[in-house]
Amino acid sequence: MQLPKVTINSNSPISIRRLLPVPGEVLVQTGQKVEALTVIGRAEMPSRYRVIDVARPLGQVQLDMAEIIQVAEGDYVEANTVVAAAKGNVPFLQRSVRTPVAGYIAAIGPGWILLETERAEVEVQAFINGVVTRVLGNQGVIIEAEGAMIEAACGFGGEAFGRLKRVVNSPFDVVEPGTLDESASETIILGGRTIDEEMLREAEAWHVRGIIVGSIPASLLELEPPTKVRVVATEGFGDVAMSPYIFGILTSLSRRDVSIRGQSLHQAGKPKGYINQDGPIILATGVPRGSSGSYSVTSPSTKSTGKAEAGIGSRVRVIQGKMLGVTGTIESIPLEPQATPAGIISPGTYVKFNNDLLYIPWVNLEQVI
Amino acid sequence: MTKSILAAECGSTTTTAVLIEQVDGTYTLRATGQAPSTYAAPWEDITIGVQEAIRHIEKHIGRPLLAPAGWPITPQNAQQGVDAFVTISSAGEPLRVVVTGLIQNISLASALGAAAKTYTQVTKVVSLDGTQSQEGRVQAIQEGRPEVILLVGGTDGGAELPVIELAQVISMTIRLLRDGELPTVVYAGNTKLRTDMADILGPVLPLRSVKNIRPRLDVEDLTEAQLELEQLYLQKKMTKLPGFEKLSNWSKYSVMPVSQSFEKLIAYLGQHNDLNVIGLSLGSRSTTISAQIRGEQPTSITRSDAGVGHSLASLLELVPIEKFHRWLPFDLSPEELYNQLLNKSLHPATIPMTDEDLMIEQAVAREALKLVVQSLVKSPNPQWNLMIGTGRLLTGSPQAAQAALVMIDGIEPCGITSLALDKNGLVNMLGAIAIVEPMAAVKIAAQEAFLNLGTVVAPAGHGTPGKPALTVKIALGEDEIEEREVLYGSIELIDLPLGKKATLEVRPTRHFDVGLGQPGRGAVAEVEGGLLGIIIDARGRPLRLAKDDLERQEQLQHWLSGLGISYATSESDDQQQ
Repeated sequence: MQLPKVTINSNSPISIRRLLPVPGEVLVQTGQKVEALTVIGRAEMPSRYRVIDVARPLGQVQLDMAEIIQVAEGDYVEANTVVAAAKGNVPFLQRSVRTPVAGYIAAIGPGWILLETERAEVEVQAFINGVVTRVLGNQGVIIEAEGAMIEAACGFGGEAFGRLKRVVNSPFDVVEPGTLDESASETIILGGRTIDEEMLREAEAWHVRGIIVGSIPASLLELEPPTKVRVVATEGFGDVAMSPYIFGILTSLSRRDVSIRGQSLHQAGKPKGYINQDGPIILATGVPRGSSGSYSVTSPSTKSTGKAEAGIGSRVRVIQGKMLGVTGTIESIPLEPQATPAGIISPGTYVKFNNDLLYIPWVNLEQVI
Repeated sequence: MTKSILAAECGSTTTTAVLIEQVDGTYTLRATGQAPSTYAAPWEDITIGVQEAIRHIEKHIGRPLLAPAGWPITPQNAQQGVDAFVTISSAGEPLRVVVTGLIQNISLASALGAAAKTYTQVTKVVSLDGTQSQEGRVQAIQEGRPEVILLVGGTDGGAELPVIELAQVISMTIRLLRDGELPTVVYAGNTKLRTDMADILGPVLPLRSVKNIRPRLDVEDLTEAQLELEQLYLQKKMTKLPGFEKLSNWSKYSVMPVSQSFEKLIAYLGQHNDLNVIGLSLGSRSTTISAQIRGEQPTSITRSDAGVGHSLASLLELVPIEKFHRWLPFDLSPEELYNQLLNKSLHPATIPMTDEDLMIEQAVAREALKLVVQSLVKSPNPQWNLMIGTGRLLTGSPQAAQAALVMIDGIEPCGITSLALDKNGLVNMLGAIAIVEPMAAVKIAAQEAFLNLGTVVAPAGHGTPGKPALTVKIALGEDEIEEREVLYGSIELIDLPLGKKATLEVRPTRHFDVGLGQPGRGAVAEVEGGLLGIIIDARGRPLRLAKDDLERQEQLQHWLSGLGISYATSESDDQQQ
């Protein structure tokens, strides 16, 4: 049975694509070793426009733009610059149109000029320690490494990089207020089960860069003011303990540098301009290897597309209901579909979870690789 | 004549295949097969799921249908294959549409209606009658990331300059789009301006001009705009599904969008039987409601933001969480419900494990139906003679009464309405099958497609709790007569088995109207039995749910038990332990 795959692995080839939001300048080269905070490229994004009506001030409906226009697309113009001029009805009297503010001429159309009044410079960092294996023109790069990779469920705030500090003893624990001190500053903390706003604000006050937990309450997505701390949840929304399997891998990464991306894919479909389509993830890379070319370019932005079938002995994870995030192994596959406790009959498999053996529909499982 | 037809429906989560064959001169459903849909990772080939579903049928009938290379064998010969293969699809993302027009309540309202005919997601609405600045409009179109811009406005011979102004805004914005395919503009405004549109927009992006959707203020003509949007959905979305080209090459019949096939079926049922028919298709990515009202054109709305799985996150933005929460007969905080629904949106193909999970999904279905039917049917709600439900959430209900109650609560039919469910998962396909062989679709629709749930009798109005709302008398014959008084606020079942007919006499009290437009007036009707029998819904219309949580939970529990729906909650489990 082919199942959606989720990578939860302490030693996996990692290949990530780092793209600029708009074409710009790539600052690294193929074969170059980079660190997580290395800026791999920068671009300028237009952020505000002004429409300049040319037709009305010149008192003409039918305009020959080629004749009246005095600037070209891409030109930078100061405020009060003449951008178009035409002879008026009175001989020797010229009418003109000037820019209200400084900016770039973004587009010229029949009767109007679009002025780009603000640009924001955007820098993209490498996100992981690794080697640049490919430069994608003026759009970005592919970076490869090896290390731990955990595809998470959701999160918010974006990307962070820092030393991992474990502050709970088990995946079922929550970080209690007052637990943090100065040693948490600039780290990414491994927080166990879940986190609430109070604890998040405390982490922010200690300059914590990021938090990894099992689950997050959805209310944290709409915090006002928003927090600067990046949060990634391995299991989902609500109050769900972190999978002990994941907690084990993360515990082994204590005091090592990790990269996290807090992002919720369920929101990615929202048209909010330039969206980072990459999913929530936790990465910890080892010593960068040379450019071997032996890695396949699979971006962790989407679920891994490996096609190995799940069978008896495969490790699987539940992705529905009260057992969300619980991992087990496939024990047997019945020939006929069975019913869930709710009475829905669906093809599935018996999965061994510690001491329990339960029938789980295939559609409620993903394969852990 | 086509004697055997293999049809497949590629949904967002499930792919279903059916085999219809002529046996002794009559078309009959031979077998069905299901498999997960495979257009997305890890498969990324829509045909894998189709092949898997067909293999289930092969096993059942013991005849090869697929060639060794994987495609369906057509035409049929003695030992293998089928005469025709046809596919419908609702898989994949909807078409992103930015709607631009002059006046919110006139041309823009029509444009939104046109967009709702197929799988579209309206990402931005830009109008000239609001307070938006020109720069704001540019920004809105950019943020909408349109694949299609639907430009409307101006009656024929009416407004010109504002429409030209809008076209110029679009022209400006197009120059700023840096990545991806250029959107297509569908112009459906003042016909006189087509040349101007070609001059302004033609040089910068693909432009398609169609009939004005509002040729006069009092006339709406959505046909051409809808058709164009359907074509663009096919071209820009459906054909881009991984493996789609291969799938198309397997058949001489074009792959049809599910919504189109479903609408054809509902229209046929209404027109052929002279009934008011409403069809509810609850999908993971979208919800479609199609209706055929006597003497009118068929209508249909597809909301890609009102699906119960893939588009649940969008639905959560449209519908406050309290509305979903009000349908739960057990204690769960709205915050926790919201968390659980977001988890469902992360894993939309999952199915409920517990009764509580199931009731949460059914709460979502009720609100999705309410949202869509509000856009389709203007008040007052017509009296539906037949209501049909399809989609896994309904047809896969462990208890038929659960599906019936979701449909009733979602649509709130008044009067006397027959209820039917898509029995074999083939209802969506019948419209497409009709193109291959109309008789096959007609026979299957008449005999094998539907599970008759029974008849719901629902008077409109409100009374005093605990006091009678109506009296019903059901006569199965001269000797077998049952009379029952039903109290306001309750919902009850009267047994009338499948295949049996009875005369039903309904006498509402003076506050209730059974669809005759006159409260208190009685009616007599011939009704057919069904799996559930006759449902007497005396809860009143519109439905009123108690404001107090505990009171409402008791109310819902009362309704569930009225229809014989059993369920276990974690509270009852705890008590048993």
